[in-house]
Amino acid sequence: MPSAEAALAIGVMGFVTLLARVAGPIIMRVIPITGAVERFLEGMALAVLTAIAATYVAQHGLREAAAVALAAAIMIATRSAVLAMLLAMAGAAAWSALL
Amino acid sequence: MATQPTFTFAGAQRGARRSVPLSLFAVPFGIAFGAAALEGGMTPVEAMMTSMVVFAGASQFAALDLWGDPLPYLSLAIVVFTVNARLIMLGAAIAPWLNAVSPAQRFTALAFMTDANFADSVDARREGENDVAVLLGGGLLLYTSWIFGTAVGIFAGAVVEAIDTFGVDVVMGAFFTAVVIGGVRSRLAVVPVVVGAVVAVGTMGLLPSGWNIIAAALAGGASMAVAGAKR
Repeated sequence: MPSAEAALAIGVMGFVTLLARVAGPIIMRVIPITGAVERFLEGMALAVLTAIAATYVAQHGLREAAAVALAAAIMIATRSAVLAMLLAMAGAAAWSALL
Repeated sequence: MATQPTFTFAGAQRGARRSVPLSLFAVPFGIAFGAAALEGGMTPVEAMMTSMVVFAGASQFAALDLWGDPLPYLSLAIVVFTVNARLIMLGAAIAPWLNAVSPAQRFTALAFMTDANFADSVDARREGENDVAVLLGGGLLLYTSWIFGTAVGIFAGAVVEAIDTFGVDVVMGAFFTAVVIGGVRSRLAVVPVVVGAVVAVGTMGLLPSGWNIIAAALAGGASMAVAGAKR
């Protein structure tokens, strides 16, 4: 068993994470959904995913940027997210093996 | 949404099925955490408990920097909340959907929300999915993979080095990119993508870890609301 201190620390981390998970819909309950709010939420969903991907690319090297660019090209060509993931992975593996 | 969102077992099964590829890719990240947790001073039981209770990879890695004796509770809370604050934005983005089901169902689905099953549920909704349990099903499968990966990392951490060789590390970045591209179905939708990328990268070194994502989310949402109003 972990010590009482470690269990408390893990509990604290779990609690603040749960708070972040449930807070969004609670906040949105008091904001009326107008056309502008609907566009805001749609834009936010796209922007947050873009931001995570862009941050990932910015924090890594050429290999990761090339893999993400490959995934983007494959998604545009095939509209298959799974294929985009698999070929990006294969591209990164080939990069690691050859370069 | 034309019809009232539902929350069914069948929906959870569909969510789990959709998330099979993602959950396979989540295992190596769990392995990396399990191995890093032991190096960072956690016992195997503490590492497992952290993955089971927190279930948020980036913040768990960040917490390892602070793990020591005595444990800095307040610093841990602030760092973990800061890194995970983007989850507020994810929840808000799909709030109209989530708020249409009961509080217990909403809470259960949100408890297992990660970047990956959020992205998948955005994709599923676009395809006409109306069952909120899709988010839960995907989350439960990812949770299982995360726990399994952590256990492997604890007991066989040496396999971590092989992860990059197989290109598994790029999968999440590739998946998020693919979902974004799938979501750009009008000229208007390009606006938050461009704004989100520029703000995220531009504020990366200026804001605490993870907050550039929040800034990008707010700026992207605002840009689409404003650009749409002008049309």
